[in-house]
Amino acid sequence: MQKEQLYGRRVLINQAQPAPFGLVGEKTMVIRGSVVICRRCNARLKKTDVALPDGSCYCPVCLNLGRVTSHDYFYHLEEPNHFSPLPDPCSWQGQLSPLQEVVAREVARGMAEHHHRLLWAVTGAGKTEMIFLALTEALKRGERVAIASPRVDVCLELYPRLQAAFKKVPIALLHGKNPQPYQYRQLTICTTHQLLRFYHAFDNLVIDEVDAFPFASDPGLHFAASQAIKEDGGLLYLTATPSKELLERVRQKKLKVSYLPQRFHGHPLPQIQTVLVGRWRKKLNKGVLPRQTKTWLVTRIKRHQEFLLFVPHVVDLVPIARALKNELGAVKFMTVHASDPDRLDKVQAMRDHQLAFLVTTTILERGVTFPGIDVGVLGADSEIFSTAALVQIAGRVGRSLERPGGAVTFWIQENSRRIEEARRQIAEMNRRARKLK
Amino acid sequence: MKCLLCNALIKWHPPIRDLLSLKALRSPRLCKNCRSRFIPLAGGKGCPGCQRQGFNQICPECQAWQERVGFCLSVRACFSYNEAMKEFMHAYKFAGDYRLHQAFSFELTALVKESGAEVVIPLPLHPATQKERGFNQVKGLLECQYQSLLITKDQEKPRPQSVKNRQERLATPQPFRLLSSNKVAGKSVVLVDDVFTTGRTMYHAAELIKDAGCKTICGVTLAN
Repeated sequence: MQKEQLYGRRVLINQAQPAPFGLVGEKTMVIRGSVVICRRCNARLKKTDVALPDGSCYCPVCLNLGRVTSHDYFYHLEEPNHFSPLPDPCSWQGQLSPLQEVVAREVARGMAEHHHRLLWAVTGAGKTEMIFLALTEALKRGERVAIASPRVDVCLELYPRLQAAFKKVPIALLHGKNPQPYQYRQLTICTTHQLLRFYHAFDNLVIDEVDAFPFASDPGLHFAASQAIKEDGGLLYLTATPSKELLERVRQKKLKVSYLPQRFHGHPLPQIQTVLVGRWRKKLNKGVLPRQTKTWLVTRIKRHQEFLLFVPHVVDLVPIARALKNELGAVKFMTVHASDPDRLDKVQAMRDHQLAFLVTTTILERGVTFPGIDVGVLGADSEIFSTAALVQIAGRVGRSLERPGGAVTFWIQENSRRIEEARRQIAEMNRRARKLK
Repeated sequence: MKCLLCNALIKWHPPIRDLLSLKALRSPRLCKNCRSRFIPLAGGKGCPGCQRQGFNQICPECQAWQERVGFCLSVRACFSYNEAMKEFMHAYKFAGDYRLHQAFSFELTALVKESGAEVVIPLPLHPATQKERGFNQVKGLLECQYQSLLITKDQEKPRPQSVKNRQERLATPQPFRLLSSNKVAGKSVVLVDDVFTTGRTMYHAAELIKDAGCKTICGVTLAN
């Protein structure tokens, strides 16, 4: 093992193995009476639930990162920032719009002062490009920086984009399925789970899609982010749909905010249209599509207009595929869901224009761009679609300069508050964008 | 109560019959979805030796054991070893999630009791593995009284059975030692293990117990 491996990390080493570099190990768990606290993920556990027969305790919460037991030790070396900063790390040639430029400068200034900040920009505003300036300056200062996201898909899409924008900077990509071992790098892209392995490592940490599952609902991951940064480290949240909690922290002035309610091309966000359809599941089971849905689909297929069709659950995919085949005949489409083994290939086929449309569950709600598509959601009133998810789904439309508009149609059985709220949020963003002009 | 495997909430209403009886109530530990992925082996069907499905008489493999060691051991299993069981074993043994011992302890214990044996002997782990893991996966699955009469012999840690191929497994030398032969002499004994694959480990243990002069011997495993 090299010393680099321990810089800003918490490395778990079994009691039976010798301590590296003669370091003193830190305790992995705190035991207070009947409560056990894992020092990696901060989970509070009942001792009787997690006791092992040999008298030690273990943490079932962060088990996926390797089991922590109270007999083991963490080894850590303080982050020394052993990098040789490049004079000009950024090789991105693109141009920001004047509005993007203003926000990018604000974010860069905030990052220099290690602020905790929310960058709230609508879907398709060009969030990633807006942080390039801040990243460039941070790298020049010799800071260690990470970009984390709750979704592995987002990490996988970010990595090539960042590597292209920072050609001379080696980037580490860390996620649960990456077979490559850990590398000490100035710039890291990782899933938010991987942050649990770091300790006071980063001068600045960016969290992309901060309101996405599972980060938003998992206090352990918030803890991970707070301890992965140095004590005076900066934190930048990126999202188009901030949660109530984040907005509350903004209101309390605990979190600074940068705000861009306009898309990079300056056109408004497409508004959601709702159409009442009856009991669509019953119809699907009979092999029939709701009439309104069918008309919508047919007109688009005739025009060769590509679109995404969202359904609430994985189990809905089979009946809808059958009904579509039955009603539309020989049209090329595919269905995709989270644990689909061919998921990446199917999404790629859609990108390559090999399909007329793609039927999907919520997995494609965010972090993906198909230029110039339309979107339909069957059963948008289902509880599985949160307001944020609906706004994100609507945000897949009109992301290209060539086709800045497009249709967002929700087929519903009954009106829901979540849809009303999503419509209100989109209208509000458009209203604020108009004010900018 | 949450499912031990997928963390989904389990809705469970104890049946009135169970409420009125004085037995301890036992809520399910796995949700219906997860539970349905494990295939129980129906009692009595298949090969009388190893319960392999599709045989009415002793299967070729058990016949081979008969020739090799001079007897055929009756080994019963709760579930068939499918993909779900493989994942379960990985999470329980190798990832070390000890909570999972509750998932099937009831089934395994019931099968052990059904055998009617006087002495229950779980197969041991190598001390180094036991220390690293912090538990013995077989003992974790047992809710009844047992006696740890077998221990592993050699001091050096051998390669685990799970990474060997079939030939290598069958060529493994006797790894166990019996602590006290008086305790099994003239008694009916049941050996308990987690997974029955080639049968090598189980037959090693059975040979020792047989040599010590037991009355009858059989085996019980969680998966086959």
